[in-house]
Amino acid sequence: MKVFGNIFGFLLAASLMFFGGFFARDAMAGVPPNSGAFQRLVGSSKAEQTPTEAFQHNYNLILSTFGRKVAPDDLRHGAMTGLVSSLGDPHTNFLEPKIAEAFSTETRGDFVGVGARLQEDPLGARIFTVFPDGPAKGAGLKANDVVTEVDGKSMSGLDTDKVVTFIRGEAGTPVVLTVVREGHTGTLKIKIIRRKVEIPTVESRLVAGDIGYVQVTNFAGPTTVQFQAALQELSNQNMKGLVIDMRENPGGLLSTAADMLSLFVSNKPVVTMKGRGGKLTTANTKSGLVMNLNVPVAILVNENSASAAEIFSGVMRDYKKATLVGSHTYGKASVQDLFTLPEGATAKITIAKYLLPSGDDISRTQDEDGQYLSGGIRPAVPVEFDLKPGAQFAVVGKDSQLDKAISVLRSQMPAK
Amino acid sequence: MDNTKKTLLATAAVLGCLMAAAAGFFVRANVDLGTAAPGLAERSLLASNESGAGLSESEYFYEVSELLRREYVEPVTVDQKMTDGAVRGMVARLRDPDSQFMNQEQFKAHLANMNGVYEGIGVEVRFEFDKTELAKVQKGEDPSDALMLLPEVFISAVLPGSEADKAGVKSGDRVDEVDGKFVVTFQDVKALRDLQEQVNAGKAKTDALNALRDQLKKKIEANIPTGKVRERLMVGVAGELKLGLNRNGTRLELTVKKGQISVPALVRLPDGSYRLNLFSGAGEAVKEANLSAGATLDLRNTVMGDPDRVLDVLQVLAPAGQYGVIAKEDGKTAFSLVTKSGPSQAVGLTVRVDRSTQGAAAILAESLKLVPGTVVEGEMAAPAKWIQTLKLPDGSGYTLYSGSWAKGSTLMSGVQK
Repeated sequence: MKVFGNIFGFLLAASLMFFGGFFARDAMAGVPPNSGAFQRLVGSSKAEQTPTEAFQHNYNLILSTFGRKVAPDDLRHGAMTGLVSSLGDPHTNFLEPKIAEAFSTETRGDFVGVGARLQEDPLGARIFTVFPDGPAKGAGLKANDVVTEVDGKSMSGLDTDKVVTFIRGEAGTPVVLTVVREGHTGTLKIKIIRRKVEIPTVESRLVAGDIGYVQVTNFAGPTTVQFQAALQELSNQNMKGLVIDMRENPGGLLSTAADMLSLFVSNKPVVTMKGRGGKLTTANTKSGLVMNLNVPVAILVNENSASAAEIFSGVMRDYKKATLVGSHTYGKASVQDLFTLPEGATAKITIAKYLLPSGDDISRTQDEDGQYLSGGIRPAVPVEFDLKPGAQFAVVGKDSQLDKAISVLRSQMPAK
Repeated sequence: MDNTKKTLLATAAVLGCLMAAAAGFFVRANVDLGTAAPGLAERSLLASNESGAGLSESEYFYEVSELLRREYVEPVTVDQKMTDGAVRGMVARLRDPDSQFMNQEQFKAHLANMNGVYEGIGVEVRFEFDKTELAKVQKGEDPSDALMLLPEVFISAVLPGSEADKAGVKSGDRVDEVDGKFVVTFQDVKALRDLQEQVNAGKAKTDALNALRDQLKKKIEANIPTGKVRERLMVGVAGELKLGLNRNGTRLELTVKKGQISVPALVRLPDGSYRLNLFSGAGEAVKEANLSAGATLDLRNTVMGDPDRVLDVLQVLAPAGQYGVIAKEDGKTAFSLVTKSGPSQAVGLTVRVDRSTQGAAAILAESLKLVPGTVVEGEMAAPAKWIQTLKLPDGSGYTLYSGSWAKGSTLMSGVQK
């Protein structure tokens, strides 16, 4: 009798464990047990294809009956791209192997090149900045040089993006740039050996005499250190006001934004994240890092300021540390994480949504054609970039938004 | 029982329970996968698999959908919506103008079209791509510019008696604007590039280039995607559309009401000829019309039609036999067009075609050319494409280009039998 009891007990425990295992996937995903799966197990569901079966069926059909040759890998990547975007979230994406690689370069902030940023020019491409630690600097390339030839090939009339592809190449190989320099007759030939370059995400200088101008192009790993150094340098130069330019900044690492904010506010909530199942977690700035700059701050934003750039700007506004100037921001109120998939692919998945300290949700809404409807942060001082002839980004007198920011700062400076 | 035995039994029981749990976990995986991939249970997936070698499509699909379910911020159900997404992604990857994914509403309208019932303004549209760029991406290369892949949209057929017909829309019109939104195409990009080259060569002024650039920028800001154009024109029965059309270089603005129209497969025209659209029932309609004494079939300004109707019509008009094949682009035969019955003698036919004769209608015309005594008037835009319609479990679906008509080699013996 006792033996029977034991066997019965064991069978009961084992079957409970079986169903525990059966529904473990639901529990891990935090959803109620899937009764459909159970029905399929006992065979009561009438021969309906599971989503996976229906997919496999159509995959086979397309591969075998499409009229042209199609690579199975290409088809598979197309399928995964579509599967992931079926959630309807523009920020949850399947990144194919080659795209995944480019993406990781972007967030790491380094690549192989000569270490310079280009700007369009009718003659070829104008050097906008030369990175401080890049090989171009050592070879003598200077800002405002116009590149007319690369390895003897004329660059006139080509898009800057195209010129860049000629300049980039494998590490250790040489490239010869022919440049025209103001105040110099004829052309100069500059030979540069390409190597791995860290893309500076912060560029700074004094403008309009006494205004510190810091442009942050991305929130990458090294950005905080570069940002802090730039502020220190400008402070040493006795700036009377500070413009932080977050325009065209697509965001990046949230932790970098929090670290940068720690230079302005100590131990305060930066952002509240709402994760799966409505769980709330709040990230705070660190204490003891505040730089007392004692100057008014303006932050420039536009529709391409997104994610971490919006958090940085929004938090600065919420704690009254800065005046926002420009046009409304993009409105990306979510956090993504990267998950490695087989074959070098990556899934970028929205794992949380965030709220600013003020409680504002800045999520963007758009119509079916992708046009902006609402969302983002509306700056206190709205001003559009004036596209008049001769307009130039980040140049005093030619950039209506920057000019407005400077005049706002002047009005906030203590009277002399 | 001594203690050793007890311990052994207890351990066995615990192990048994754990194995039951593991079995449950894997049985669930197999249940979700269905019959798609037996043997999944033996493999551990994403967690440890870096190379992914040998991971089947369905396993990949399953693991990605599970990953989304586990990690995505909102609750996610793995359902047919994901299958739709995956199929939509695959179809998009084919980069083929004739292979298009349709959501439930669009697919319902498409199936109705196959029965001769048209919503919207009563037209069929066709996309035309830049041939060089299309060939490039179909080979797996990058386009010279993503904007160069935007097709032009043309009206390929106007259903007789439809609102579009009444308003004066004609087959061959190019659609430039829909309700004030612009259709941006590769031609816009080309025009900009050509002017850029002229400026570089000193043959044009920079001002003109800037003006054109601003104009294109405005168009892009208020653009309507080409897929949406098809939907606006062909789905829905209420309201009206403001169309900006281009007919042989002349700009036209037309306001056209939406509605629903049912078109019979075979219509007798005033001149005694018959206009045939390959809707369901086309075979029966041709049979009832009793054309055995000879007739003129007009296949101009007709819709692409349902290719499954081609054989239905052939077996009324021509003796049993083989009427060509559908060949893939690598030359391989996908299948042959064979009828098993038919009249003992060919019906003396005159077939009228032109550039608007496409798809199933064009296949029918090509097949009829092989019937002795058929006279064909006009030229078609080659090739005649076979486009399948495929359904998904939730009512959405897609079209798939499967090959083009070709003569094939066993033809004559087939016809003479």
